[in-house]
Amino acid sequence: MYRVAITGQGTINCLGRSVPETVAAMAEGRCGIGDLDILLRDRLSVRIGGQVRDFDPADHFERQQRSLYDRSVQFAIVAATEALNQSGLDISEALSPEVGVVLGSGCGGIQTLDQSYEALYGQGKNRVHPLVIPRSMTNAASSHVSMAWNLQGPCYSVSTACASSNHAMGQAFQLVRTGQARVMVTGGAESMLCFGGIKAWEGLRVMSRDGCRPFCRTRNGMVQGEGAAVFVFEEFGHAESRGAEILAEVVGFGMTADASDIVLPDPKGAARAIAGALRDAGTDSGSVGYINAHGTGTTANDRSECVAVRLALGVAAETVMMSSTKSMHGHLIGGAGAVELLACIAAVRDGIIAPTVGYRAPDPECDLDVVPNTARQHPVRVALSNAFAFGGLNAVLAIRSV
Amino acid sequence: MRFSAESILEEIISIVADQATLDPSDLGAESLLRDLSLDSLSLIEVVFAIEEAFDIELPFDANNPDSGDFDISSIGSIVAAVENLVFEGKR
Repeated sequence: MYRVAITGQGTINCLGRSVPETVAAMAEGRCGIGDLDILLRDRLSVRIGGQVRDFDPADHFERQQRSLYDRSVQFAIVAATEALNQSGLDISEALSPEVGVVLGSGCGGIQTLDQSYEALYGQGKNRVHPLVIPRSMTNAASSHVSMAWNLQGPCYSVSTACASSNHAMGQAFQLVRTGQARVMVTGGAESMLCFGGIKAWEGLRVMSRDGCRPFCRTRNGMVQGEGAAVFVFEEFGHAESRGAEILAEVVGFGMTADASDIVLPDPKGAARAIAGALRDAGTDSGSVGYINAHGTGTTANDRSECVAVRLALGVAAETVMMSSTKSMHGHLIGGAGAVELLACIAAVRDGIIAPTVGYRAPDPECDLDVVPNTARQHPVRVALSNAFAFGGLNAVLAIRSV
Repeated sequence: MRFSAESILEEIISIVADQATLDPSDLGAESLLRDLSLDSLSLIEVVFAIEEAFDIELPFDANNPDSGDFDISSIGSIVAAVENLVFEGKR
């Protein structure tokens, strides 16, 4: 088995247009959630979100690209550009077949579908833009990244709701580890901050109207975000031999299914995924210094997640730092785990522990160290990134400092 | 909406020029689409934009673009097809 290095990272989200901007915002404990600026806002009950503001696609893409790329795909390409540039990889003809792409997305090009349906049902039109299918398919982002950099290895998408990007990165890890690919470009993207997308979430009645306060006693639901994060996972020896900067090492992955309820989490399933990631990494619970929690800010998730961490880590749970950066960037659904891996890398690489902001009062049912409101500086050897999706699907990634 | 023969030509040149990223002044009725390096997706975007602009249905089959009643070989042939549909029953 090969070791797996992370040699590039890129992002765009409401906290920043790049990794340095985003990590700086996390270190400041700055919240990027604000009033939504979308069509038909007045008819929404939930009017806040982690929206990427003032993003003009014309600054990044030619006209023909713009007509082919849904907003989520645009975000994926912006993030992939930063990640691949940082990696310094030269995609030669020889290397190209050994480089693949696997990105997560919960809903694919839902904004494209939303606009099309509005034209059909709202305006009574009988035709939609001819590129609705290639724009909205879930694999659009992976395919466009593959085409833009001529990456001819394994290329596909993973869609498991809020765990999509963790499952995608878990797949990338396995492909590089087993030698099926030398390099995988991986992560996730999502953009469902549109009228139909928010209405769908409103229906579940788990959305907060005033902010995302994970693990806080006053928490009252989740807040959606949008954006993307993309990483370059590379065979360790390959990265070393070309003198690439290695940001962190991916060491373990665990995934399980609760097999119980389509929306309610079961802590046992999450705990098995955490324990599975640690076992896969060949490390013990005591070496885990930081967990980026799934931490959605719903009553059910946060309580269940704290139980799961105690089940999996035992006494080590009493001292581990665990924060939910969703309090700052919102819930990116299929892009969540990817943006949250940025916080894990900042922890193992620079000792920056991103906080859980908006925290007002302790909840006895969430009594772990959730790093309330203020970031810390603390060396971390191993970090975990939790993602627990609707459908009872749990995916946990473990990374280590190098 | 009312269209004259001149305004139809002008509108179609504008749509094709936009897709081909050319200046409209570089195009005329005699321009052949095969010279404009329009890929298959750009071509269906041209068809869509024409349908939207004139509120008509063009008989275009992307499986077999050269077949059927709709001759898309040149700007002039597209204009002729659009005129037929726009002026249908109005003469």
